[in-house]
Amino acid sequence: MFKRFNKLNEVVHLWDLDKKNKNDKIQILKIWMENLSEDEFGILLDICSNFNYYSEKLTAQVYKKLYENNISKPDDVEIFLSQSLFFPLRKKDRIESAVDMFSSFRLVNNIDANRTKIICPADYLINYNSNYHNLKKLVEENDLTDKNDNERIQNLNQQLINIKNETISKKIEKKIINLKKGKNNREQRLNKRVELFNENYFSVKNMIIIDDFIGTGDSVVSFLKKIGKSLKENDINIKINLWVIEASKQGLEAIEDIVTKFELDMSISYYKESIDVLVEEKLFPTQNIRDVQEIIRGINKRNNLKPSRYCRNHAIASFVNAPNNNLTLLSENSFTWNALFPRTKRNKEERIISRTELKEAYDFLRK
Amino acid sequence: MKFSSLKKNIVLLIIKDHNMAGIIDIIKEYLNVTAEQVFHIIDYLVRSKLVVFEDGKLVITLEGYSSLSYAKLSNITIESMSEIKYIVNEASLENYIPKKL
Repeated sequence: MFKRFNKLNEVVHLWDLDKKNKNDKIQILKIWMENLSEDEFGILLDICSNFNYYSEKLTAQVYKKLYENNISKPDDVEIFLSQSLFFPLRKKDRIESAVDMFSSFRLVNNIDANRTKIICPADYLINYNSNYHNLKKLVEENDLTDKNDNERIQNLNQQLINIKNETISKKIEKKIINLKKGKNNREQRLNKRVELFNENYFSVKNMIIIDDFIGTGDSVVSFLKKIGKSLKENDINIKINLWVIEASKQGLEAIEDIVTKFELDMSISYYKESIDVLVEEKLFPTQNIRDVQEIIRGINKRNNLKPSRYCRNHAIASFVNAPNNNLTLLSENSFTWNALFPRTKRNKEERIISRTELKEAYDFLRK
Repeated sequence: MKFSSLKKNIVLLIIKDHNMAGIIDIIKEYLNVTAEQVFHIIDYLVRSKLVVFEDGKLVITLEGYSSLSYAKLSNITIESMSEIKYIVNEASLENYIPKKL
């Protein structure tokens, strides 16, 4: 008992937690110890001693290392940075969970706030695409109007040479001045839009997307699916760089497939590979792995813990949240189970729209 | 950057009392700004040496604390604001003359 309590304490002290959080974790482990058999608790302690907790300090250190590793690759760092925009991998419906990690990355590497965009990277590329098409149309229309105006000015100048009547000459001169004025105004307006397009889109050659963990790779894959086709079809020349703290082999493979499919220019950089703690020869030897898997299944069943489709038996968490690919009992609570690093769901609650409201909206649209 | 000292002190109080996870959301909520604007605000506070980023956390400097002390805010928290009772010295209102009658 005393030995197990000592090990429990040692495990908790592996994580960079404040006093209150350390005590909380000790309490949870004590409850586990009371409610589980010696074998079961021993296995969970083994898993916990390999649990990677990314505190504020460790997160900043890892992000600094990631940045330095990647920034050493380009020949000219200044040019690379001036052509790069940094994004969190953020979904539209999710409240800022990714932004806290992104903020740590930004602060530790002194990234100028102007070089960051807090929108979904796919939305940025969709905006790039629509801006490109709108502006392209506008430039073509302007070129045509310009050509017509130039011809008209040329004709009017020709007429000026031949006309001797002063009143008519003045009228023609006025017309030429107005045409030139209109041309200048149009040009200035267009210049401003092209400058903005250049600043926000065309000058951007690198999208650097910052995230915490790649588990199944689902969120990256869905983002790539969303943008892959439009990047390919529209000749948008942007390299996608994904920099994360941990990535699983399976997630990386899923991303690799989609990158090949859409022939994307993409690189992934990660600090560490996430491991499935229930795979043989990772934490447990081959001869024990079946027993370990059985024990975990038993604990799950007794406590009504259901692994989600994202579960990849990882053992990681950051100071912001725990990923959904963790071993279920580490991050999910139930009536009889206290998770060690619970996953908080920060998704926005959808508002229920009544039939009357929907009908009113339809009535308004059909009016 | 247009940033009043009241807003500056609100952000300092939030940084003083909250963990890194969630600071951005709270600043956004209190000041009704976007996450990008929060980044600019934090950069401004870092440039003004009121806040530093140390060991992965935003920490208020001595100058930051004196800014709060000067505004008599160093001992209160954002959450306890609604519980603060104000005692108004009515005697000072006796000489108050409204601008328009």
